[in-house]
Amino acid sequence: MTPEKNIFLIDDDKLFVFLTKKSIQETDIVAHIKEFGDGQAAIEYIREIASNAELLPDIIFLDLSMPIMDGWEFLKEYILIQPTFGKKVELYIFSSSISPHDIERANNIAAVNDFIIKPLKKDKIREILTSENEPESKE
Amino acid sequence: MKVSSSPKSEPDQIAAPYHLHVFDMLPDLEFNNIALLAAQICNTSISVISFTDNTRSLFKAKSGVNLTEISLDDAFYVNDLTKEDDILIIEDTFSNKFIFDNPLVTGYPNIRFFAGIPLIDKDRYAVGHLFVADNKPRDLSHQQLSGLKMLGKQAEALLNLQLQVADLEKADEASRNSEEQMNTIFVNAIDAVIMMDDKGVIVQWNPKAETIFGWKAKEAIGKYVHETIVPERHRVAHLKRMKRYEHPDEPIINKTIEITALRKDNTEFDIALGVSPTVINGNRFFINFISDITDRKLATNKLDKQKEFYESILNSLPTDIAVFDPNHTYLFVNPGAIKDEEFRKYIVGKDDFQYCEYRKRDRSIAQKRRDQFLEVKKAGKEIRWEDTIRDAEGNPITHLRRLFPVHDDRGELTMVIGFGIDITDRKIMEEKQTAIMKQVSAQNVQLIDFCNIVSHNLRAPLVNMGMLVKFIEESKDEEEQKLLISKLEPVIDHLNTTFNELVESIQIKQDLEIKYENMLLADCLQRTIEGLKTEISNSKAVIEADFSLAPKIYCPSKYLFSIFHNLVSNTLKYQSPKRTPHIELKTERINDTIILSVKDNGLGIDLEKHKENFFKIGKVFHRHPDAKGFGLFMTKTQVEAMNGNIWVDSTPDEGSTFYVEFKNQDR
Repeated sequence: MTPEKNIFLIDDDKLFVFLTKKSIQETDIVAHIKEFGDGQAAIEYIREIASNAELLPDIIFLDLSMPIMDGWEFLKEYILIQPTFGKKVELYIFSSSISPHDIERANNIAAVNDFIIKPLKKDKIREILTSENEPESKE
Repeated sequence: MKVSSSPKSEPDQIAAPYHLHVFDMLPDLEFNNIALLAAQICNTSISVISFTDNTRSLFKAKSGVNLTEISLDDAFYVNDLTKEDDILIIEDTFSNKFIFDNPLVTGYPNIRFFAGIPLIDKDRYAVGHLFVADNKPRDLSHQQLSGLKMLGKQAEALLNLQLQVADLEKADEASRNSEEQMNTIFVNAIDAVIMMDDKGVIVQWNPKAETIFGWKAKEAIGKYVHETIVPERHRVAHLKRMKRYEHPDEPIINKTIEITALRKDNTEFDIALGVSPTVINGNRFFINFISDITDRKLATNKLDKQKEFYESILNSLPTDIAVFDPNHTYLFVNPGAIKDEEFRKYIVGKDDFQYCEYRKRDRSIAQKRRDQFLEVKKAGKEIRWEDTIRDAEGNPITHLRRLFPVHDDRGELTMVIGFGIDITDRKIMEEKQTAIMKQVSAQNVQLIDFCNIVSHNLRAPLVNMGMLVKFIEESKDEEEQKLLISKLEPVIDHLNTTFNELVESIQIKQDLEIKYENMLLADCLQRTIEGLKTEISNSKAVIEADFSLAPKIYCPSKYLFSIFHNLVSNTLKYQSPKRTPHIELKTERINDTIILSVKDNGLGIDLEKHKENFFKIGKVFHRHPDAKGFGLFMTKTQVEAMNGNIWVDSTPDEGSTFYVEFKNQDR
């Protein structure tokens, strides 16, 4: 039995959020998904729960292009508080950007596990949801 | 009768200007005749003409006595009698206390009576005597005495005449000697010496001339100079010069000249020629001193050519070159530095202060140059700087100037060389490049923006559409399909809007020929308010406008409407929920620039955080349903298309003021 996943989805594109949630549901993997419309809202919430491993997500899906605080600005703040987390949090960038510049930039940030170009394929979702927890699985 | 007071004075004083051989040359006959006449006139048995040297009295002519000479010790008289009437008469030698024991009295020829007069030469020396003597005491009558004197004069005349001839002969001999010396010089001279007469005919030709020209003396002498050593092309000039010399008053410039000469084998070579005129036996001659300067000429030619070569390089370099001595005095300036030849000549030996005065220029220029010179001198190494001046048309001319010192072996400053290169073109290129770089980087930013907008605003909806379609296909539930299809339409609308906006912004960049017109700002605002009627009435916004300082703006109407709409709608979009929106629009004029400001009391923006991204495409700073991040990008694009600027002042939660600058508004 795959454990429940706690997922944060940070994206201003409501349709994409809808489609992503639908894709996750179709994997039959149980997951709790929390949505944030921009980086600002997400980082503020993560700061609040940083010391609470129970509430911290297992996986973060981060969009780059967002109002108020975009993905890059979020990452800048995130890498400052990430070391204080009591657990491992995977972070995936989901972006419609095909710019190699963006991909390169993302790969240079250690906290970023992967850069995934939209659209999001079901196989990929499944792969992320099933494989991520293996090394330090908590029963 | 007079008797010498001391007939035998000191022999040392006896003058003896002539060697006896001179008297030998005197003709015997004439003097003998005089002596005979004297004896006859005075009726004496003895008469003698004697000449004296240091020790003897030589009997040149005589009668009645068989002696050729006597010792001066035995002479009755002294030789220093120089007065014409110094006549010595001894009537009876036996009764004269000085000479009674004289061997000529006591022995042969047993003289009892003596009368003698001195013979004086032209230089007033008594060189001899004419005397008569007898074996018995006696006297001379007046007639006899004056006759004797006349004969003495005769003898003197004869003597002087002969002495003159002797002098002449001696001079002749001397001249023969000097001629020999001259000849030696002539023959051995290291210069060719050619003597010609006043017709130009060669009369002398020395061995060196033979060597140099290849003509033997015997071949050359008698020929015309111009036919022998003057190249054909110079002959006319040569003859003209000879013609001038025909006039004895024509001054001959005794100056060495360098000309081309001709050898016997018809080859030409360079000579140095000096001409001296001379007169011999009343005829004018010219002595030509000639030296072969081929080697020297070759050397100088080489030097000249080298000098010419370097000068032509220095003179044709498109660089300013100036050379200074250690005191900042100009030694050389090339035409690159000073075009005008007169000024260029002036400046050598002068300094900048003198030159500034000469050209009536500001002294400060000279002072500046002096300071730089002293800096180089002090530093001992090159300095360089850029100088920009304006030409007659006011265009900037930029020079890169370098000054560097030159030192000798001992490290002493010998000169300072200044270089200036016109780098105006380079400078213009650099400026152009900088402008292009700026433009390119701006375009690059825009390109990245476009890439972003394409990624996000175009690609994102497309991705969503793709995913939706896939879900629709896979869905078996009709309700679900309907829900998914209903989500397609807004995506398509969004895509359409974004697409149109993109096209619009591209058009702004490309529409270089857009029509400019005078726009009344009040009208423009009215139209904007009408377009935003609903938003304004919903928010109860208060809009104030003061365009009194600049009521009109010259610009494309489309842009102005767009700018007004974007700025005013932004104030409404980002109004503070705590306050009723209050919007102030104002214009002010600074010279030919008009600045439009739009001030609100809305949310404001954290400029610290968003400065870089402010006008970028797709940037949104507030959670607002209509915020697409496109408005300000469009506004900026339009403002920049008009060469204007846009900027913002803002304090979060207090409000923002946008400023738009319109340039070239002098109409």
